[in-house]
Amino acid sequence: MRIRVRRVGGIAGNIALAAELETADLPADDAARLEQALGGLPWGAPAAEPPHPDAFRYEVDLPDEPDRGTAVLGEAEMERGMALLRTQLKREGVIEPGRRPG
Amino acid sequence: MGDGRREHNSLRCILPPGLLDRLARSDEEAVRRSALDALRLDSRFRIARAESAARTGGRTTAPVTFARIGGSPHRTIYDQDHRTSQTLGRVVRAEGQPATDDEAATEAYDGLGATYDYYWQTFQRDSIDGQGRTLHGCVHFGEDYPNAFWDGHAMFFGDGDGQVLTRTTAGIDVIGHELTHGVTQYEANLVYSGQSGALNESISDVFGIQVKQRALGQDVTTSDWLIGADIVGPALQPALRSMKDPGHANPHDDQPADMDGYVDGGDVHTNSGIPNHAFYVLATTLGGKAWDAAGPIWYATLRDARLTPTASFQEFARLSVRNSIMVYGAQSKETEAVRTSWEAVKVPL
Repeated sequence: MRIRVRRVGGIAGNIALAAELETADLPADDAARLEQALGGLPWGAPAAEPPHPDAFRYEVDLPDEPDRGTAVLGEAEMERGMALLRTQLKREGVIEPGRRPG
Repeated sequence: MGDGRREHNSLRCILPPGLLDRLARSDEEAVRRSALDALRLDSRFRIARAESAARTGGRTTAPVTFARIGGSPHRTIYDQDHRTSQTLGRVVRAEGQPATDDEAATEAYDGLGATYDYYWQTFQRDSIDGQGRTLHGCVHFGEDYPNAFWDGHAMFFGDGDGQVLTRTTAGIDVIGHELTHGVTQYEANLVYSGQSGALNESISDVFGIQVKQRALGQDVTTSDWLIGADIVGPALQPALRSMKDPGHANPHDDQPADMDGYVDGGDVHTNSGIPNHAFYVLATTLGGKAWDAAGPIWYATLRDARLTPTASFQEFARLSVRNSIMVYGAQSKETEAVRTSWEAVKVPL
């Protein structure tokens, strides 16, 4: 399963960091934990209000299952099974090009 | 009081700041005891008000000064030991204690002090709540955490990942930015989405840059007007945002400088470029120090009871003109400059 994660917000809020992860490349236990965590995400639900200013927000989607929509998560929801995505962002994250004004 | 009857004490009324302290040093035993009682009561009031305001925010819980003597901060710096818990960590420095060899702790302590000093010297505002609230600064939050934030109670600072951001306490403007989120919470309590969210962000940049300028002895011409220049890693050089030239602070910066570039549904840090640039135009039009006139006009607008939590750019702009008129007059160069600043970013008045 291919998973795409995007981190926005934070004090550098207009900068988005994105990474992809393929569960087939993970150890079986990690892949199972992550896929289980993905099953419980609020796919397609509107984003909740940020808990405080400059909070990070994570947008998760499955490029091969576009009908699911995007799950928008706060920092606290990126723990346990989802922590792998945060690690992937840290390791492989690439800054997306900004939509330059004008 | 012990027998359940209400005791009337004339000293437990609204007294000018400082009077209770003087009375507490009186030669008369009864006066001294009564003043000390009142000071103890005032302390309990302040704690209760701070707790209440922290829960709800906004002006409805704005504190009323009883006998507070401001002018000196109460800072406590905590080491979060790289945990992501927002529970206050291990105290590493309390007010008045000497610096340790922890650079982040020293920077947080000094930066919070400089920000407190800016608000006190410029507006006689006594801390985040105007009531002497303790400034809690929490360093080493998370593992290589590339962020800093105010969570409604305390300020948290990450060490950075070395690529996007470096040690976030290194930016005095960043510390000023985060503390100002607290000030906004106790004033207009601007909702953190849409235009009110962008105003919330912009106000933190506006006062953050003034804290930096004041600490560096800069006027509006010598300032770089850059936010986060001291905390960006190689990927975001030279800064997070530019108030002078929004959209051009780094290769990924997408901030608009005026309403032509407004991004519908954009991040609050994106559209904040518009009011940021308005403040830059105002301050540079007036010249001198940004906190001579421009800062006070913005501060008065933030404190104006007519500024609602869901305020739009236009509502903020109109109130800034009204506040300038109240202080400087309708035909003054200051009010003319406020109008010009909003015209420059294409926010209609």
